[in-house]
Amino acid sequence: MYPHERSLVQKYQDKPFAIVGVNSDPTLDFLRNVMKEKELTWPSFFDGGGTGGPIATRWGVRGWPTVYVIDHNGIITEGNRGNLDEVIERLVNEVPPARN
Amino acid sequence: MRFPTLLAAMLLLITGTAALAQDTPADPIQKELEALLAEHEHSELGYPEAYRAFRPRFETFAKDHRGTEPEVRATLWLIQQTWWLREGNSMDKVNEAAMPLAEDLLKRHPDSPQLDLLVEYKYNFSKEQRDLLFNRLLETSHEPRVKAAAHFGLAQASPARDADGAPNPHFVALTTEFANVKWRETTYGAIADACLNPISPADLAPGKPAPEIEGIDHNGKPMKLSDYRGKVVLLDFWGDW
Repeated sequence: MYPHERSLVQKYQDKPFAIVGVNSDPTLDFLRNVMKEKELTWPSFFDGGGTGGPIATRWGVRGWPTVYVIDHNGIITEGNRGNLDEVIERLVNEVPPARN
Repeated sequence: MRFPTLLAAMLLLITGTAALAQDTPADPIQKELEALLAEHEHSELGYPEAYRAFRPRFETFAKDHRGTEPEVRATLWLIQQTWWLREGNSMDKVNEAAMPLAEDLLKRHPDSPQLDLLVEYKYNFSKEQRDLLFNRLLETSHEPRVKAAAHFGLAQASPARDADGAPNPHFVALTTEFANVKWRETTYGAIADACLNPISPADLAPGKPAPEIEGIDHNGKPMKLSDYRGKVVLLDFWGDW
């Protein structure tokens, strides 16, 4: 997943797009090391130190990685691991330009 | 040591609080144990081979230091590692080896604060064994973290709510009496609350507003999913395994 995610971050660096992780690794130190070593620039929630953490449990996540694509209004879309690129491309282009 | 992804995920679950050993730096027995644990952890051998190589040393250590907390930890290591005795899909050998070790610990060290690891290593026990062990932990231990772990182990054996929607009493205990007891870097209260009140899959379907997530980031700073409103968000549940 990392190279794919990095390429998305790069491709949309000037667009209204963000990756937000929910991480199930054992400790904050572990997470920080992974982010550093794998050059992950996007933020992650730290989910308490295991796959049974409160966020993943509340969301009913049973497999990793699991992804959701959420539009700029905060609505869950049909995006999944199989159609990520096209859904994100369409959604990013639907975001109205910011007004000053 | 290398291992396949699924095993890695299982091990992540199993090894969890292994690092939470006793804090008695001046104790030479404890130091000896820590050195042994570290040597095993950094072994170049594969997991089953490392178990075969280190098992006699942990057994000798446990025998030589019988009655001490480091002995409890060494025996818990032996229980954890019985995992490598499985044959194909059969856990018979694992269950046969793990249970007598656990029963012996419960008999001789009923109040050890380390016995929560028996719940971490639950995969090495059959359903019946778990029921027996965890109920006995609840009866005998006076340690909140051990009792909370036992409630958690028992809670997971049945649905979070029954057919009428009544909550599993073990989860209820975890959201009340044991709510503030730590599990790794979160609390049993937070986990039990999530188990009792999951988001319904219908509310995570396309077209539904994404439920708020409030938590901490990698620096421990508060973060909310709604902080990213206005952007397209790829929400990615991940772990490095």
